[in-house]
Amino acid sequence: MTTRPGAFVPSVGAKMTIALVFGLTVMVFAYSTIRIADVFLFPEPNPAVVVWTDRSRFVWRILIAAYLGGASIFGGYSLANRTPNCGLVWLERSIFVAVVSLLGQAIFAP
Amino acid sequence: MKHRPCGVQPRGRFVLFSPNPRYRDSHVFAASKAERRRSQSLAGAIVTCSLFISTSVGAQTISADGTKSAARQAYERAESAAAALHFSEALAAYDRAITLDPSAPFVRVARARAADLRAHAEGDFVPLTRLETVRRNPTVSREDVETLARDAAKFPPGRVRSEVQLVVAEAFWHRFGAPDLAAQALDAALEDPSADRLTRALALNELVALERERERLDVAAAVVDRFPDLAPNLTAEVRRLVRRIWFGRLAWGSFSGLILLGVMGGLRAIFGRGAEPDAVIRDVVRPFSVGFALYIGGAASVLVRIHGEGDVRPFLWLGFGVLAVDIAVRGWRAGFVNERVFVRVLRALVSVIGVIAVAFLALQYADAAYLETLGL
Repeated sequence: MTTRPGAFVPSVGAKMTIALVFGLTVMVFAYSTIRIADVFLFPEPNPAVVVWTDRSRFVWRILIAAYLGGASIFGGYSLANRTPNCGLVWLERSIFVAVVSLLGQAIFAP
Repeated sequence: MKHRPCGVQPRGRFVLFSPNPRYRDSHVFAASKAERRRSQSLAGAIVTCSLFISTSVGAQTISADGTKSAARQAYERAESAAAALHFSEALAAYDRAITLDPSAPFVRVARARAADLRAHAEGDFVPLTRLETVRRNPTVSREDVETLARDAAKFPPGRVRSEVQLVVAEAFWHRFGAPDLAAQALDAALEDPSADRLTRALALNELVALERERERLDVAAAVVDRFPDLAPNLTAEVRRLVRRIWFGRLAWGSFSGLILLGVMGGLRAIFGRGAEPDAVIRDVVRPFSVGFALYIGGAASVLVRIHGEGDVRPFLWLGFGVLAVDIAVRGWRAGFVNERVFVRVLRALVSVIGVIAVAFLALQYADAAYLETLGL
């Protein structure tokens, strides 16, 4: 990897942190997206009338979102390793997108 | 009270209750007798009416019982005649049973059987008798079936002709192991314009199943394309299978091409540019990529196991496939060094196509039912 003189060179810890935050933002984004898809495409029965269920849809949404977030940690680390400045810019954007998606999900598909 | 003129005497109840004792004493017996006579007449009339009514009701009851019994006998006669392949007689007996007692419990069955016989009455039941003779024979020989198939060509138009072809096809396919003859018979049933729509749809299903069993999906697709409206669901399913085959070929082509490109790039880096093999391998196979592939397959497998059902193979194959795509693209880059934006974008696009191809193949070879849920 070639680095321009004066460019931001993050430490391994910083890269790991960037990657982790990437994972968390993608997890939030994935959760809200899955929830919206569930509400509008696969509506679940009213919990008040469900006596027993083998699987909690809420828990599974979290697990799937965690899986996707975990996968994105690799992408975040790779981005922070290759182009740290670009990684930071995209980290900001991903946080913004995650917040907006979570807000939209809370309003339209609570 | 006024006195009546002499010779005119009050009668009956008037006399009995007359305040005049003269009348009461002398006419009591006569009045009582008349009254009794009248009562007897009335009673006689009532008895006569009762007898008449009860006789007529009884006669009607006896008559209704006789009709029901006759209807039941006609129905049983019809069943016997149908079992003995005397279909004209059976049809007449069913009709008689229906006419005699339209409210009997067996009439619904009788109506259905009569309608079925009427629908198969072409040729004065001769074709139906031939068909049933073969169909009811559990030890029918191949010669019998071949004779029936030849005779079917001469049968008059109607339902029986196509049903004969179905029976012939079934025998040729499953009993005598002659799928070509079975396919011919099914095709004849499909082409028969006088055949029932359900029979033709069944023939289409059978023919498609036969061709799929012989792994001739292209022939099955051609058949459903000839009759697209006969069984729309079957047509959609066959077209989806054909599409899946094409997607599979495309996926194999993309994946194979990418692997070939990666191998060529690696060899070119070693032999063309004189790079050290170890350095090339280190450059191409990255621990980070291996970790990512293990995460893709391993974490997903754990989730599948927690879920309690499902197949972990697609995720494992996806992980290894993604690793193979990553190695191939890095090999391509190592051999054909070109960092222009266009080439980098092209590499990224090819990588995405490779991952999609791997995902498709993983699903197709693990369990194609996953693809059906995705509409593929």
